[in-house]
Amino acid sequence: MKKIDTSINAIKKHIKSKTNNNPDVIFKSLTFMNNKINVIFCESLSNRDIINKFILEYFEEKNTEQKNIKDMLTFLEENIPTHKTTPLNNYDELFYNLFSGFTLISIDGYDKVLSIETKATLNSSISTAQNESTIKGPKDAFTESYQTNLGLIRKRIKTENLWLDELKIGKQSKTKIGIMYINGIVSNKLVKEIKDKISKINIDAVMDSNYIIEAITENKNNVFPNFISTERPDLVAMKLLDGRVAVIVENTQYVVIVPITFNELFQSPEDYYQKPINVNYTRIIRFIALFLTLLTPALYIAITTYNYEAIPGKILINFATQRDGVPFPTVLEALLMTLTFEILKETDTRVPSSIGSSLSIVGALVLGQAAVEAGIVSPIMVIVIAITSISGLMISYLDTTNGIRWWRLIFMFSASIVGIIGIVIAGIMFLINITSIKSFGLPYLSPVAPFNRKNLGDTLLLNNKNRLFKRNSLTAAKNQTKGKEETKNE
Amino acid sequence: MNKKYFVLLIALILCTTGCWNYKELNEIAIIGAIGIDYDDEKELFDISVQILNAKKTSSGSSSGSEQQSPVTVYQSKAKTIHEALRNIVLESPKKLYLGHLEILVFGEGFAKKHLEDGVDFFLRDLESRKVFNIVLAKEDKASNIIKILTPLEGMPAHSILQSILSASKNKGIATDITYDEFLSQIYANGTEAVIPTIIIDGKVSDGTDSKDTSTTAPKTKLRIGTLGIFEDFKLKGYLDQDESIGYNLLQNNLDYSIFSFPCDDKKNYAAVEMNSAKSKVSLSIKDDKPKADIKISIEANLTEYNCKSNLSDEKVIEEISKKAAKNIKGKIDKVIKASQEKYNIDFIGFGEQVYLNNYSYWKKHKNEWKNIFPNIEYKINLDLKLPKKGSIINSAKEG
Repeated sequence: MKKIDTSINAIKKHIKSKTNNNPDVIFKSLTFMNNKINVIFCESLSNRDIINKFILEYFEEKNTEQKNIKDMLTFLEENIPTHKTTPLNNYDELFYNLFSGFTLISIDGYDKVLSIETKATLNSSISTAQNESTIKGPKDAFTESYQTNLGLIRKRIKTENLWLDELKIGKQSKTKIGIMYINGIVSNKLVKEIKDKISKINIDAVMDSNYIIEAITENKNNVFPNFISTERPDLVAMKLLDGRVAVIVENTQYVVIVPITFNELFQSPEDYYQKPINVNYTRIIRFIALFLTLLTPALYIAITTYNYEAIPGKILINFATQRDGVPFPTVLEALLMTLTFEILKETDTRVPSSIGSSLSIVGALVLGQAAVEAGIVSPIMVIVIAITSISGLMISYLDTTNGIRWWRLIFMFSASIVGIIGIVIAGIMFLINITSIKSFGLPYLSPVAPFNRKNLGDTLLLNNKNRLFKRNSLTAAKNQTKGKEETKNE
Repeated sequence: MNKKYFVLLIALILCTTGCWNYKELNEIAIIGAIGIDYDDEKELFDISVQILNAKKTSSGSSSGSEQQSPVTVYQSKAKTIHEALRNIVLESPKKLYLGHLEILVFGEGFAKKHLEDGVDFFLRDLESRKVFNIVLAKEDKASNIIKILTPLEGMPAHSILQSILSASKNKGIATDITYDEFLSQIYANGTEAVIPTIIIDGKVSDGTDSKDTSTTAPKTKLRIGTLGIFEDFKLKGYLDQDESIGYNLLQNNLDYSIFSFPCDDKKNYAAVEMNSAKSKVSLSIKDDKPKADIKISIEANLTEYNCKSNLSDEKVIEEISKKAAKNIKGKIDKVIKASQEKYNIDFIGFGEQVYLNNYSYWKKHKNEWKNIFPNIEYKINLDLKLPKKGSIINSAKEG
């Protein structure tokens, strides 16, 4: 690390050469009480109002009082009217501060530079959650601002035990990564593991929280995520209180929670804001939807090409009548329709909203009536794909939905090769696969496998006792009763 | 690495099956019913197959275009049933699929002489379930029954099945019996099989035309008949209506049925509807002679009453229930008499009761059961309760 030069011109020269004479960086030379001073800031990141009002005006006003000050650096650090003034002594920190929107004040003859927070607000304001919407419960969502995101969590948990460790990752981007947890509940080993792994990451830039999690996870070949990335601060707070660790990344709306279990991917924070008995109804429907979205096309293929005996004769006759005149094999028909739906879905996310309505008209026609009337697909296949896709959309986490797509394909292929036996084989493979996943040491299917009776109250069915009075003992290392006085930390 | 190869291996093994048994739904002909007759001259099985028509009617013109028959019937003859079925491939564009067979119809001639040679195929065949129902074409050929179209229910096979189920549950003249049950009754010790029957009302040529079913009063209809009885593999005769009801009561098959009986001497009738019936036939051996004790308890409602008496009187109700009980008892009496005297065939299963409870006696007298059976004394103990009289108290005649 290069130490900061004592001459302001040397500093200026160094910055100019390092940034290739960047026109963004502004140098303003002043003379203040016989000291040569340089005010340096990055125009695009700083708030010009603050710089003008508090820094430049201060220098002008105070310049009239001709005092003899011995230590100008300490004087300025104490007297400049802003909330945070930090002296810096090396160029690495200087550049980081400069390109974070801070204003730097270099004084001739001192080997330190004062850094004053003058960041411009370049973030969108807090809005409602877009992708994890709920009816009840808080509506606010994380923004791209790191500080705002921290604030949104902190305002929900006002304890000194909510600890935050900060790291800077990314050779070029120098993105701030916050690791948040509640001391006294979380397992210290887990925090250490995550911190160690994150600090070892060696990449250019961090654009989203997914960069971090993909770099440190052991779950590389699996389609299912072993983390939740959420835009809901209430969910993060809830999980922190259960002893999880939240990873907050600068400039992204999504906060990552680890470790998690498979069943949590099918839960919503709203579950905890309603009567458990009503939530259980919803949860059972979600569970059924999971099976529907995984298996419906596969079962349809198996039943109509191998295992006709599995359904009543009347339905079989209906199916046969519907399929009359369709030229493709059932598998191809199913793949065709799935493909069409996936294309529509992807287009719908990428298309500018101004031309979105024409897409939906074409989509409805292609997927529905026209395809059937043209004899390309049978009407029953439209229903099958509709059930599959609607059930798939019930899951709010994109990572999960996209993982399920692969398994649906595997189920469809096995069904088309050996019918229901193929579905059973694929089902066994599916089970083996998800049982072998671990989320930072936590078995994916726990508390069902390995079985843990204490925590069953919040898996498929929610039990009021587990909601209000007990922490998840699989993740909370200490202090497992909610509302109990904190035990002394060791 | 090893794991990866293992997964790949499994995937490859799956592929080597070469889509075994793969057939698209529109490549198979779903069979609803099969009829078996026997051609005595040529000594061939005569099989008729009812295939459910899975053709799409051109959309939007369901009323305008000519109506299409919901089923197609193919017929073929061969030395074995399976060959005869396979011969149908020559006529039908689709391969036959037996898995959804609902009804197997025996022709009378076949049931009388050749049933023994015709049961093996359906037991051995992998594709067909063994739980399809059987029915006998009373005094007719099975192929005729197969050809008749039915109103209300588009699939004739399903219509026949529903009729049998309904006749057995709500009337009691038929017995809903599946292929495996039928055979196990034939093979069982000390009991014989019965079979529901079906009759064509009208001309066969009318019943095969789908125009007939589109009228309000089809000229030809299928009607469920009374039970037929077997001794071993041979059809021996038919029970009449009362006897069939009596049989089903004894077998605990009947839940709901209507009994009409005279309630006074002036030819006025009343009716009760049975709600539940429980019967128990037990045989005891006394002095080396079996004696049957039949206990039946019935709960019924009075549903029609055309006599003039005060129904609020407990005694009157008691009298009515006595009369109803007498009527029902008569039916049971009649069926036992028929089995003992008219046919000397133990289809009620007295022998089975002895076989199950007094095996030593059965072992000793197995061969002379034909002589013992007609002389078994029996006692019928019928307990009938009439807890409800309906919405009105007195007879409507009284005003």
